[in-house]
Amino acid sequence: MTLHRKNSHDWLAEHGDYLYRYALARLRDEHLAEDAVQETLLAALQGSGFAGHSSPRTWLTGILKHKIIDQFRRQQREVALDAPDEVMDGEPGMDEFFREDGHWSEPPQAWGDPGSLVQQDQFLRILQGCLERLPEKLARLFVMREVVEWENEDICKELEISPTNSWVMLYRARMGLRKCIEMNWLEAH
Amino acid sequence: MLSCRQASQLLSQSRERVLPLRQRLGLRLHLLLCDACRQFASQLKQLRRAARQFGARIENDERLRLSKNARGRIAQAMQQQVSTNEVARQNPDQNFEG
Repeated sequence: MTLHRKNSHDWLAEHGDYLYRYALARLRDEHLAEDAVQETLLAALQGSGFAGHSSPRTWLTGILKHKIIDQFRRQQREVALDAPDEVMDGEPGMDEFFREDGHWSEPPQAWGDPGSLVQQDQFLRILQGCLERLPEKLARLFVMREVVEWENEDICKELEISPTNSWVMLYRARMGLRKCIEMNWLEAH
Repeated sequence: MLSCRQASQLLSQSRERVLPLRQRLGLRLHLLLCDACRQFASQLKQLRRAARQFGARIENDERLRLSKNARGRIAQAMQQQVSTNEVARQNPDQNFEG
């Protein structure tokens, strides 16, 4: 099937921004998101075409998802080489959260429910800031699990990590985020 | 009796797997008796909810757009790809890269 010039310009004009936002929500980096969109549209042009799919946007998003997975895989591998210490058996670093007898050093406080839209917005901004402060590998895994909402099984398969590995990292991510959010949220209220 | 430390680990893990019965019961008992861990459990839920909204918020924010530069770059790359495709189409017997 031949792809006419008109189509390719349409895709960028009609779907470019949408694809960009989709990628940005998951990759949390503008340049990476731009690259993912470019790779997607180029792959779409190289392929056999759009015929038979539900809609151009759904089809393009499908391609984009794969490009995002590729990026995640690349990133996790990079970090693994640099910081093998990040992947460990026990929960080192959790000592700051608990006393020797196993109790919380600082018991979680009540947050209340972010009621108004303004408060919800504020809460999400705090979450974003706290994500940026987490070690990259933990943040990324958290995003994959809780933002992109992949099943743990699929994450482990894609990133080639063990379930145990994943549980440990998610635990550390959640503990770190919770603490950071609490500090910032309570400060503002 | 589980410690808070252990309970916090199990609470986190329970999101990814079904805990063995013994651990589930131990956790439930601990939560009955421990305010701090109940608070933690509720916060994990809030965190999860917020994470889901987080993605949606960015996806739906129409102020977020490809920059002019990025758009130009991509358009150019696409144009090159279309040209390459055209040439390949007109010369089916020859091998082209990319």
